[in-house]
Amino acid sequence: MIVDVARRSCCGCLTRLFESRRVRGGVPGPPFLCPRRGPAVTVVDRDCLEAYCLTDALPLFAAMEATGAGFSAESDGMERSEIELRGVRKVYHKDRIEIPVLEGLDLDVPSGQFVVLMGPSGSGKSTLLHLIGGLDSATDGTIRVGDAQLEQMNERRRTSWRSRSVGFIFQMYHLVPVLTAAQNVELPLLLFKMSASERRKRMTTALEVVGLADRMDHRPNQLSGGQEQRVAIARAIVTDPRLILADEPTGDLDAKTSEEILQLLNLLNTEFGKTIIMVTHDPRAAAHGRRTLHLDKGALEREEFSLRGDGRLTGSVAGAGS
Amino acid sequence: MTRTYVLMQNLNRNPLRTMLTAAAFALPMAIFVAAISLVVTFMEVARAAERELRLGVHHRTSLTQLLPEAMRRRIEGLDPRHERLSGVCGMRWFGGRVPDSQNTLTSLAADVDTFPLVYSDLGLTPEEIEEWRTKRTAAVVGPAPAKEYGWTKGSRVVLESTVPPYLALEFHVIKVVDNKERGNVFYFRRDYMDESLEQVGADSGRCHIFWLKCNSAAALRLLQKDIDALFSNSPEETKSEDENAFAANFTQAGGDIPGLMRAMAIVVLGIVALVAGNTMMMSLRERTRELAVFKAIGFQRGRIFSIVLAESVMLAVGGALIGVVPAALFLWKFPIQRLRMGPIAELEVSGWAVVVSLVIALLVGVAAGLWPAYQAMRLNTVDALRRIA
Repeated sequence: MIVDVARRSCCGCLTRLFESRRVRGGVPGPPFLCPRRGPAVTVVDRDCLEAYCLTDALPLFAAMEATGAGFSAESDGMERSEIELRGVRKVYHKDRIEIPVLEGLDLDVPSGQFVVLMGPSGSGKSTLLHLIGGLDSATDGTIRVGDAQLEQMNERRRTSWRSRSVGFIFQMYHLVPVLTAAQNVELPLLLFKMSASERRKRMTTALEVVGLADRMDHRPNQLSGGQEQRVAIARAIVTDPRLILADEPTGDLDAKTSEEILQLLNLLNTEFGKTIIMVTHDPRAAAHGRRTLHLDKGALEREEFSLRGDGRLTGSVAGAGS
Repeated sequence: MTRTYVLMQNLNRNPLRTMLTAAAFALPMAIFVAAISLVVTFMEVARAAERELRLGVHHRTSLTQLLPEAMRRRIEGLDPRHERLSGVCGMRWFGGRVPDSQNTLTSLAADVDTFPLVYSDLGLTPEEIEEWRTKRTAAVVGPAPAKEYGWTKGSRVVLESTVPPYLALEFHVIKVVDNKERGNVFYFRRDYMDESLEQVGADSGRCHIFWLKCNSAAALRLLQKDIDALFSNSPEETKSEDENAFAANFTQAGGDIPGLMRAMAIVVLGIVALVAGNTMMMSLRERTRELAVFKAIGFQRGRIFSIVLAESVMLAVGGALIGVVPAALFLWKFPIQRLRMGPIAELEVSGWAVVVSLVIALLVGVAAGLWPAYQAMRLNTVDALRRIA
């Protein structure tokens, strides 16, 4: 089937996609992030390259699905993924017993994507998150994040890379109780050669982004759970990392506060272009992601593309995400 | 915000525990600074004694046994040309105290002719030596009693003896010595004491010890041997020892106080190190998640190690300061010289003692913090994050 669509672009960002990716067979490639409008996919016919923002393309995809059209895509290699995992295995050892957690996982995450990791306990979600964040090293396989080839780095270099390139958000916030919100946010900046005024400026900006500029001098015990998580988010973004890893960031929050936190993550994704990988058990939280990876027994069971939580394109991918 | 600020805030996490641990350092360190001051004082006294090359000859049985005057001439006869020996000064214990006072001074009656030579380190001027020889009631006093009782040159002083026959004698101060090693002394003429003893029919013309001024360390050793050989198998067998050994024996008459203090201090410090180590381990357990997050956000292993170690050291040194500074101020304000505790009377707080105490506190802090810091450094971030998630 040839999809014949008019060439449209929401903000010009798709020009880059045209230059870097060739898509065959009237097929949507993996969603790409439009920094201003959200996810976009390329939709092309055999002869010409056309692109749509996903919002506009959705009805079209629905129609394609209804007619049973197949989807396939390939990259010409000009556009590198932000995160690339190849054959990643992770085995833990306990009492001389090998416990495999991840089994030869392949995954590509383009820059600016909001990825959700779901799956039952023990499926390897958090392990995958830790491997991508350089907190742990893979038993086998390669992991590239940006320009960093993590399996080639020792712990010291990984730690140094982490301080610059990754922001972590945890379920229990993990703020330092004896420091104020401002000091908690400033903490990662102590690792950089930076003037006090520059640190303060960055800290203030981060707290403004999360809407807590008026709570700077509050200690964690003077903040609500949602506010604490906002401070933790500010701490994660204060070094301006490209990648944010969130491990069940709403697991300890009520529904309303969870929604606020997820909106904030969406904002970081859409407005600031952060690549986000979030582990969650909550389908409502997962709906905020643009792509959901379902893991089971250390393997990628399937993945889904979603659209701002109100539409979903589903395609099964066995053993690899691309 | 600085890293030091973060450290300080960590110590402020549990103020009661921090205070109690600091107090556990403060109390022994306060005692420690006094103990080290005492050791430093003994070392200074020993050095001074070695310089002066004095040899003490007393009865082999006990210091309280009196020796006959004739022994002085026999000792001098060993070296008539003064090749090894400059002079011999007989001394008798008076044990005087100011009336209505409980503090007994190190008061000794000394031979009028040889005292200025044998005790040349007291710094008597020719005029003062002349006054010593001409004034029967002349007395040379140390700085401690002079300061306490307001004595100056020319002061009239009455001392009551604490030993039979309990004489009460009047003296005139001709010199207040400025010599730290002689802080609590009171020297006067032995002929004056003998006359007074004769008046009450007591045994006179004898002394408790002869102090010899030697020309060299080698001469001192030879004389020590010769004198003890000279009086062997006689009713007055002698024991000769240099001033250093004499002071040490005198001090240890009531037990090895400095040694005991050292041993106690070491034991106490060991206990404090264990207490502090346990405190740090508890603190570490409570903060496992925080340290894991520190590592996650980019703090290197070495930095985590230094954070925990620095906390331990700050706790130890802070606690030591709380103990050492008041103890030093107390000893400075209320010197033990006032207590007249024999050689301990020489004790003054020493700058070295303060420095050594703080260095020891620092080392104890390092020892207490090493294992917790090592554990924190090796903390597996993933495990720690999982444990708390």
